[in-house]
Amino acid sequence: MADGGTCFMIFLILLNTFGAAASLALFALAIWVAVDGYELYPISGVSGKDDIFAGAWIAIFTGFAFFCTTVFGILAVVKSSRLLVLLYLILMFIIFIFECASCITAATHRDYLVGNSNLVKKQMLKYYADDSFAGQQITVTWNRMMREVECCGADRPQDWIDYNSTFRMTYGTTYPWPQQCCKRLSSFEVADVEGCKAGLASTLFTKGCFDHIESVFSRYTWAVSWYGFSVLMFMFWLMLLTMGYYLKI
Amino acid sequence: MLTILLFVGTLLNHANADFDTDVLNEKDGVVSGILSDSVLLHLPPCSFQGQNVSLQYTINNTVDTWTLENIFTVPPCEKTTGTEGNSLVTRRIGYKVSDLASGTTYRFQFQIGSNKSNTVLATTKAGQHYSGIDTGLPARSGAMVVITVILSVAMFILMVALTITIVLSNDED
Repeated sequence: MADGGTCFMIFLILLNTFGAAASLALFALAIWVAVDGYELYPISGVSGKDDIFAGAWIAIFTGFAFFCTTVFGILAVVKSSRLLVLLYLILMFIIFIFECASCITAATHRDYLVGNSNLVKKQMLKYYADDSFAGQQITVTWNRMMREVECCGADRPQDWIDYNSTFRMTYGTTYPWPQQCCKRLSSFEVADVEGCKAGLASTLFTKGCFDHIESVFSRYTWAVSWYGFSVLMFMFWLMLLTMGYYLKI
Repeated sequence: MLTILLFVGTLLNHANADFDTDVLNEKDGVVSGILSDSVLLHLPPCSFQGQNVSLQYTINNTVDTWTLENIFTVPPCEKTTGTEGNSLVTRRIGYKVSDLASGTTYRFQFQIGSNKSNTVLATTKAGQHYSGIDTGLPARSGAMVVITVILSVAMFILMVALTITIVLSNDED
């Protein structure tokens, strides 16, 4: 009986240690998302659907809180104190709720943003070359992205022709699309200005930018939402086992 | 009857033409041959090289006509685009008719001396306003539903288990 009790205690200590490591990883992953190495935050910020990043901030908190609480849980289990274990369970439950919120909103906002290319396309047409603060942010983001990823438009360059845009109203129809759509030489000059203006496919980028945007936001969401979900599933079983231990003490 | 007339009409259009032209499309290496204020047309065949070309265009079903005299000379027969070493070389592959009204149907016809091309019918892009793009939630994806359902169930089970644990421990006291 005592051996069974000790076995259970050691098992719980091991589980709590594993939980501490997993939640520290969640903390680190959430920091990576919040830092936004791909610098695409303005696309979600301007649209108002930025809960992927809000979820990341919450996950920074919950990841670290889970770590602290599981370490406390090891102490509570070793001391076999009912009060401490009950306190541990209640703390874990509260953090569980916060992490649930983070997972769900991150997954939902990702679907709003990049479920299809409409929102990104409309935002590009409305805000690119706009003078407002939001417009400047979007313009800088798109310029960098078009240069680095070598893409043009949301789905394809024709997006600039099929729709009216702030860009066309500001600069007229001399250039059907921004100059960042044009291929450049290693000296940074445009390779063929006239060819790019005419739409010669070999002088501009014909790939759409939406694929890149979608893959980046999906990557962030898998980090915050799905990894957070797996941590929660682990903590769920850990908490059930701890409740069983509580009844045994 | 109408189909036969249209077919014969098209045949006659090309039959009367001394040479053919058409709007450029993706197969010719351009992103789009039809823009909102311009249209890209194929050059006349290089057998007419060196000769002056004029263009006449009208708005379909009206009498408004524009004639551009001697706008360019037909280039000689050689490769139109390619790379030479490290540089990108572009030669002319088409003629751009500019300053057109958007969303309008035009008829274009080249003329070289006494030779005329077929009449090309093209409508410039109307340029939809971007506010017409529907940005509502595309669909309820599996991810949302799965995460919410599973987490709600887990939360419920935890709540019940916690309550039972506290109640049972109080009963023992």
